[in-house]
Amino acid sequence: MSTETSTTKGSDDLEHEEHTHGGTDKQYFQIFWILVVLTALEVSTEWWDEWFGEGSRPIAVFVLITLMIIKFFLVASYFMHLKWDTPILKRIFYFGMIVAIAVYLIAMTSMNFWTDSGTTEFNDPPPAPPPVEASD
Amino acid sequence: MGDLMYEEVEDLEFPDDIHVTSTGISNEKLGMWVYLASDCLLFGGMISTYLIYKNRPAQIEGLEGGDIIPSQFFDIPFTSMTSFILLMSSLTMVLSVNAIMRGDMVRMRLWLVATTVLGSMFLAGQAYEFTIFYFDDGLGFTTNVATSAFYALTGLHGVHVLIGVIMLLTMVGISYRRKMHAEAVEVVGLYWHFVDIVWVVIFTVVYLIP
Amino acid sequence: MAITEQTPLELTTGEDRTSSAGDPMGVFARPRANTGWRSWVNTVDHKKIGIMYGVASFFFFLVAGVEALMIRTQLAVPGSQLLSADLYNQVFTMHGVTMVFMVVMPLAAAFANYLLPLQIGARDVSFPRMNALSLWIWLSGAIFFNTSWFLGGGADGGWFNYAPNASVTFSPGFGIDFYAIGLIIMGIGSTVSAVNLTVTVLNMRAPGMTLMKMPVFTWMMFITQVLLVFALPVITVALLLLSFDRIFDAAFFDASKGGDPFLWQHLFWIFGHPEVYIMVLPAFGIVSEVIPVFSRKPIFGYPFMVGSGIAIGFMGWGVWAHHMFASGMGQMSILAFSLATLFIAVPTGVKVLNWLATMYGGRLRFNTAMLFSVALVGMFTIGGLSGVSHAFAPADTQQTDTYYIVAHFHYVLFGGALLGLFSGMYFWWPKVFGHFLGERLGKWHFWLTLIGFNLTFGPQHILGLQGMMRRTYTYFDDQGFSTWNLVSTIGSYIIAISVLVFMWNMGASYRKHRRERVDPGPDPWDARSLEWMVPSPTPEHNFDETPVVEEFDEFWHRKYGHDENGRLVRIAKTSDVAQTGQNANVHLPSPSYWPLVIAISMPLIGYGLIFNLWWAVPGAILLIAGCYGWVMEPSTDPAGGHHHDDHDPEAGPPDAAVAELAKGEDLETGMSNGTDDGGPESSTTEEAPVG
Repeated sequence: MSTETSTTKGSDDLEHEEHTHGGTDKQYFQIFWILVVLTALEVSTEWWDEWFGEGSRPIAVFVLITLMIIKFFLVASYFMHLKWDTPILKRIFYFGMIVAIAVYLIAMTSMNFWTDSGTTEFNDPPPAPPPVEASD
Repeated sequence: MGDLMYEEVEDLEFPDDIHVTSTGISNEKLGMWVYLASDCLLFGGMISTYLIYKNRPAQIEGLEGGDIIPSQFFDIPFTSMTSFILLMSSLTMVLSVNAIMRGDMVRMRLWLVATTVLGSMFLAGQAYEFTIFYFDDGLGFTTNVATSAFYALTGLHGVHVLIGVIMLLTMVGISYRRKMHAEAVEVVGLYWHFVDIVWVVIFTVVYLIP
Repeated sequence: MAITEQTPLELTTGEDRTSSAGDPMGVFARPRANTGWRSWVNTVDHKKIGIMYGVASFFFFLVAGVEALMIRTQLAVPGSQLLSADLYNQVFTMHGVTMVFMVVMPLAAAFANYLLPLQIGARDVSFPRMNALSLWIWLSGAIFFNTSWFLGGGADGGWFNYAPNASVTFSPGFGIDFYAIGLIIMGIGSTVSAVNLTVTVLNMRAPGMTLMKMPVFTWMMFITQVLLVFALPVITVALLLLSFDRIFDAAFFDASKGGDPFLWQHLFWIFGHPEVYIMVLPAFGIVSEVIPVFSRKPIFGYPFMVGSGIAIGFMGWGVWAHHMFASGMGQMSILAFSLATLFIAVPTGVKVLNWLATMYGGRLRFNTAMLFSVALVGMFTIGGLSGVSHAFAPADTQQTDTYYIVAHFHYVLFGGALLGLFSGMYFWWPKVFGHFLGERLGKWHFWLTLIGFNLTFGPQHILGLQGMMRRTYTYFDDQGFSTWNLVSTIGSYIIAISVLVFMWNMGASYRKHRRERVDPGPDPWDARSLEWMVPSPTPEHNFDETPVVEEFDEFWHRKYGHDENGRLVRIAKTSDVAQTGQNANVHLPSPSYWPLVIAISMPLIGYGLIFNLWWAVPGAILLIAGCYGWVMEPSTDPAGGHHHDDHDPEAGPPDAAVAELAKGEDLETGMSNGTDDGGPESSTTEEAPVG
């Protein structure tokens, strides 16, 4: 579950005695700036509609979710020391997260979240008020 | 989890090399992680509630409470700023942990206070956002399901941040009266980072994804 | 899981651990009573806490039992007007909620608290003060919930409390507010306890006690706690939304404002199905201890026993919607959950087969504990089979909300959970109280329970298939339900008598014990796991010295070996391998008032939320005061009279458990509060002044 994807260039060799339990200040600053850049990238998607047209929207959603996952793992692995701690913590935490994602995605699917988004048809539509012409 | 058990069979040799705990991790830290894992499901539930309800008032005609939904009024630049602040507070938090691991109490306090200030700024930003929503845009907690779900989710996160701020302040106070465990700072830090990553998710899923 | 070279407790901190403890900063004097009620109220001893869990949940068992008798009396004859429809709704709801959250769960917690540390060779749980906190929070929540009877009537929405029935429109009284807030409070308590026990099992094991050498009971309780850790936040979300709806006029489940009642069903059952396993796995664990002992054989297929428990723990997350087949959620969902439900029967079946195989060829002793366990295997199998019949959606659509469902889950929860818990009581009673429960009365208790139980719930299968709906307060004579309902009512009174017999047994055994003390010795049953190594009742410090574990069923293997022909031979007398309990030189965690203070604040806030927000103010103040008092109070009393310089954590104490206790419990409340109450902030900040 590692996130060596980005970041760690040249920092892993720092892991001698004192640093087995966490990163150095410098490393943390590096991570922080990466996070800042990613966040800026995320925020920029807000204007993609204007820049690239409506068609970019699905790509924007994809990019947003990817960036969110990368940020999540960066913070969890480095700031929360999961990268350095014993794997049991990682297992516990990611187990909880996976359970959460799984059950709620299933529940939302069962509530027709995906198919119904953007339409007025819900699985179990709330009762609409009586049509106006009928009551008048 | 399964493989965890079997690995451990090999690892845990007894008896004379004394481990303080069976896993080698302190109880406090392990407990905090278990709690954070549990909190994932709390926020997951709130986020999915919001997702399910976010567009309903606009999609179903004739509901009480009108068709306004919070996402119409999001001020992305402003919220990006508060997100950035919370992200920064995570940095100051790890710096504080590093400081106490070096035994540098002064810097530890400094960074803790910085974290507290940044956290409070985030809370202030959230309060400001709520007042704008409430007074200018007419989004009340009870207006419709979308607004209720929005306030419930962000409010729950805000309460977590508030608790974190209080914990950090308490820790600064205690550091004057007692010797601190580095691990105490680290464990509170875990909580703080967790609140931060939850906001990473909320910011993306609630605010940014159209 | 690498055991890292450096133990994380020895962070490079730069702190000076040898400094003096510092002033306790407590507001009150540290509690020091060793006897009398104070010693119970302040205790952080897992054994006393376990006993209190047991006593309190037995009290609620009687309360819920009386409610059950009211239900059955009402239904004894057609057209009965004993209870009004409204009161009937309240009675069955309170019966269900009380039995689930205030009887079965805490009774299992009683066993867990008492036995987990003993079975893994620890001196206490990982966070002793938190342990007290979870007891008191649970108890205050339970009392809070039951006071609704006197404050406008109990909850009346059924235990799963479906929307929109639970809205103010359809349930204008305060009952469901008490339900929502009471369950949130109890949920906080359970979360604290679940985190605590999870950490205990992972972290507090004796040297050599690997996970795969833990007793099956410990394993099942561990899985239960993990399930609780992940299931409780889900119900907390649901209850928060419900209380927002009811107290602050939100509309999460109000269709007229766009809310979706279906969301409640999902949230409730995402919690609710793991909850089923949370209730029954502890009983499975107990049975897995009792059957091997009274068969004089090791548990058959230990890895499969554990593996099937883990499988249940995983798969339990993927089947919740089988409670919702009749909700109109669409074919795909029904198909998927139907399949998943069929699969989850497999690991449960593995367990049943393992128990049978354990007994096969064993030297069986049918005393009361064993009888209850064997009865569980049979009765639970019946319940499990009727459960599988629900997995088929078309059949389930027919059965939903009929007495067939009622019969099914009573076979699972009474025939499964409760019989197992009774079995555990007979089994561990000598360990806990130092004397046996009477066998003669015990047999009466057993047979009356078994007969009464089957008379009560067996006919309900028939009633359900005939079409009798649950939760309907009466029926007509010409519907053809009369005969079996009468049988069922008679059965319920037999169960009531059996409970009276049990109470008589408790009293009589105690009086007999007072008259002539017979020491049961550490190991009255010739049992297998570590808790039988210490004297009965368990001394306050548990183990004189922490046992070093070499194999599964460690204690048994210290007593028995094999000769060259592979025959079982005794290699040591029990008195030689058991401990004497004489070691008084053990440092124990100090008692504390603060868990109680924090717990008392919770119902105050609850009443405030329901009746008048101002009333919550004293509760909030108490909560904050309690949290700060907790943090300021060192987890060990510097003036407590113990000199434990030999427990320097840095040096690696000779006895891991002791050091852990000394530092262990301070983490604390940070855990509980996240759930929502905005409470115990500070927690993690405290330094344990060891040394």
